Amino acid sequence: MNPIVRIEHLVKFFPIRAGVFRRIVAWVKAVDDVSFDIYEGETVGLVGESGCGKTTIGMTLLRLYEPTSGRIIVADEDTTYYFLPSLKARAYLKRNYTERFRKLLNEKKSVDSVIESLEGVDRRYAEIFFREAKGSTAKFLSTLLSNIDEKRKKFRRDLQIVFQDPYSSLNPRLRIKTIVGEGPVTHKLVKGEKEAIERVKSVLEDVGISGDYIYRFPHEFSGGQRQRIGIARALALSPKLIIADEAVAALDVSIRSQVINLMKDLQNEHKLTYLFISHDLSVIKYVSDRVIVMYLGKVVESASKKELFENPLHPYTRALMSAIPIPNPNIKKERIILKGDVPSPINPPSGCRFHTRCFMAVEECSKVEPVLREISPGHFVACHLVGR
Amino acid sequence: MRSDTVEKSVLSVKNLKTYFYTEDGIVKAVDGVDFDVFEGETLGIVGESGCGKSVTSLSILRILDEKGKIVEGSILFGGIDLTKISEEAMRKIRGKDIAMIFQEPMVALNPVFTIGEQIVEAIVLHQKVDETTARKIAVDLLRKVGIPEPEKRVDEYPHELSGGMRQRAMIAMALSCKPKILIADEPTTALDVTIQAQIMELMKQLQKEYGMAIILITHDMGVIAENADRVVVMYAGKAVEYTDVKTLFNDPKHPYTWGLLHAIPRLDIEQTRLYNIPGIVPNPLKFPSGCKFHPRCEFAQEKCRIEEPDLEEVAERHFVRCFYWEKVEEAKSKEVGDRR
Repeated sequence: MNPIVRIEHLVKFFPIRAGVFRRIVAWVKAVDDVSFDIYEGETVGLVGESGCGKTTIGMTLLRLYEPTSGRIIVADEDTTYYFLPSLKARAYLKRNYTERFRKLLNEKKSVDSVIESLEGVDRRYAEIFFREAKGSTAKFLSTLLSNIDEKRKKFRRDLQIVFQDPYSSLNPRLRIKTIVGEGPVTHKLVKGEKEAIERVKSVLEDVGISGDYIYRFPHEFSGGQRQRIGIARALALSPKLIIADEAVAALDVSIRSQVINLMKDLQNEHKLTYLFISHDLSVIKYVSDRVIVMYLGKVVESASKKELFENPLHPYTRALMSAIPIPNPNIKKERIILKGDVPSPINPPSGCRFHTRCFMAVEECSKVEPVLREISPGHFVACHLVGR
Repeated sequence: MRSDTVEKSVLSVKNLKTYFYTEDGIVKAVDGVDFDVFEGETLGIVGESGCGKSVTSLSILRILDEKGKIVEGSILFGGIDLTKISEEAMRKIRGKDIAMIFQEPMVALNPVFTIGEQIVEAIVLHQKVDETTARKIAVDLLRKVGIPEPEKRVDEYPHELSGGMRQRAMIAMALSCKPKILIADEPTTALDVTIQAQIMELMKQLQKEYGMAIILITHDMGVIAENADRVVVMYAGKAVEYTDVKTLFNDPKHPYTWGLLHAIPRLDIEQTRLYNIPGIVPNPLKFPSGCKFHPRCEFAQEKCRIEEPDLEEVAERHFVRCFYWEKVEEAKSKEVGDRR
């Protein structure tokens, strides 16, 4: 089964400008070479502390930020060039596909063997390049770029987000009908006013809000209800992936459990796929099927939920788990207290980025950057000391 | 901690009621809270937003804004009722005997003075020392709370410190006069979990060293379980359950406490589904009649809508504000299997 979303070597750096000429003096390395897949119907939990890059990943995935480099594949389409200005998009496609295909052809001599050596998007694009475009770069580019507006629209429909703050994420001047109905109308999922209202009512009822409230304004609702409206807005477009960025962090305990349960129920009913971004490991444990732990722009560990919580391997994951207070006074657990603060992503530590706070670090850790290795099937860890 | 000391109450809050007289009506932010804080012990106050937990602490220090008034009840500290004494007398206690740390150190610290200046101010105000000595004390305090290079940091401004370091500086300031009671209002809510662990560890260690009592206000049941000796659960301005921490978690009797404990996702157990407390946290301008929790309570009866229950001692030192706490008992016994 192919993943719904595949992120390959995603990098996002933000420039820091200073001086009269606003010259770039440094880069914030928010996300630095991150790859992962999201499969249909699953919940991937992305967890880490502030500044680890988890929100940047969500924003880049939605293309609210353009990635610095890397590739974002959604439903077997490379979407990386979708929102680039035309010249940049052409340069991207040439660099990543046509030039590469030509090089491969030189090595392998025959078109068939080039196509066979590739898979997924690469293979499909190679077929377009060699078969449909007959090896012409111009034709290849025009095939991919001709219907770019439609592609953009589809992309916007397929990926939706639920934000953290239910107070600032709903426009206070719009009625609920407009907030939730805008998407389906724009994307022509409904015909006419009557159908639009029906659609809005039905998604609102899905999230537990009466359809009678569609002419109300956001301020007439409580925080928990607003978050439900935010979920309804995402749901209204039947997206392939919903990114929930700290979607329950601002809610009170009793309201939080309602919203978490709701999101789980909706997932079962509508076969939704979530990327659940949170700093809270307990919430992540409850909602996720697979968990990715990040530290300072890097993935340090990823595994299925069961494996990660039963057998955490990276020292950071272990420290993070042990730092969470357990609501049970009968348990006295050994706590790993990390030294110091999270370093700045402008100037991350050399070697393993965690070595300055790590309780296990050896000399090698400050020099060599560990790669993400598969320790057991599906369990990836980036640490020199694991498995030795 | 409790077992080896003779229990001595340092602060005793009785039937405290603090109302805010706003243009929209009277907000009964605190409407009947009772608890004792014992020497060297940590009292936890837990509840959701708007339950009155913060206003309780502001009332103890009498730092309410002009709309807020303590309308009833007493706060006994060393034989004096803090609600009755003059503002001048209160000023001698505030910061000296009872100190407070806040949730957002960036807001609570003054951005235009260095950390050192702010600590020195408190020391000079309450102790008979000159500024040079006070500065030395400040540096020692910063070292004690784990700030690296305190001689240098003492001259830095709050914005030059990280969130965790700022909270440490706040603690240093609060400890400068060796208070008998430290009120910590959501001290770690704005911090990352690894930093939270550092700060809670520091507070425990300092509590032992100074022998002070702590009032820990939080919404996080985990923080309560690991740090409090006794707990007050608040809902809609009222204490609904008050007992020691083990009893509260092992044997909660109020339906709200029970619901809260089941509504949180946990690392230590497998959960198939979180408990839903239906409805929303009530608006303090329009609290429901009778028991404030009845519209959200699955055990509520007709009586709960009309009459307000008292905080009743249902077992030794276990106080519950509920007519039907025995029913919670039954429900609990039914799903023990699910929990363990």
